[in-house]
Amino acid sequence: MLYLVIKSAHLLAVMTWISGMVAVALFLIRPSPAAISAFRQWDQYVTAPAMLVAWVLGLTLAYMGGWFGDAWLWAKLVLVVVLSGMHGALAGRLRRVSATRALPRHESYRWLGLMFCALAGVIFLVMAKPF
Amino acid sequence: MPGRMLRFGAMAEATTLLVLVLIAVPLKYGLGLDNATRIMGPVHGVAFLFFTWLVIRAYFEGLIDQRNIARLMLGAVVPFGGFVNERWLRSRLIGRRAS
Repeated sequence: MLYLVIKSAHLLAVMTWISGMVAVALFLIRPSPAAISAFRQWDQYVTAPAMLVAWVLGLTLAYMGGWFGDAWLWAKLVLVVVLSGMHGALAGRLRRVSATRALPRHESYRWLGLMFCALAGVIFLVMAKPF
Repeated sequence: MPGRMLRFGAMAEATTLLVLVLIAVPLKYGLGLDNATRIMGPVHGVAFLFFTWLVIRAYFEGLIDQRNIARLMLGAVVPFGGFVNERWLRSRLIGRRAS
């Protein structure tokens, strides 16, 4: 039961984190002065904490499942680190736009594609546990 | 002051590293308490990952440059290095735009 509760909370955190990243990436394609504050606050108080919760609960689940010796988990962790780095870059750009009020358009479509691929990899690895 | 979270992250990372190296590891090898490193290892791992994330964010925010990244990451793997970097960040970021 505890495992399922933690798994549910982990999935909720991941969904919140990834949706927040997508929102920031889309915002940076066409930034709007009126919405900067809301996006920045959401990223700071919801998306970033959701990422931390996803990390902690994910590691807890891996510990409970005894998967630290499995290669698929390490491959998944690499993808999680990539996604986290992308979030850091997006959050940094958002904060820069927020602080300077300069609104350069950032080509985020490639980032969105990369994000989608990394997420697809994570889901495949955790569902199929192929190796 | 900008970079408040980055400074907090440096302190947290440095503190967990010291607890791991100076308390958990001696407890494991001195008294056979394996749980000390089993708990502190992941705690420090998450703190280190979070600090790395904050460094990436600060770089893209324009608070630090690539040389600063090298300095911060080097300090993160040396005991007490994080405390030195926290003071360095404080003096460096004073007077910058508010975060």
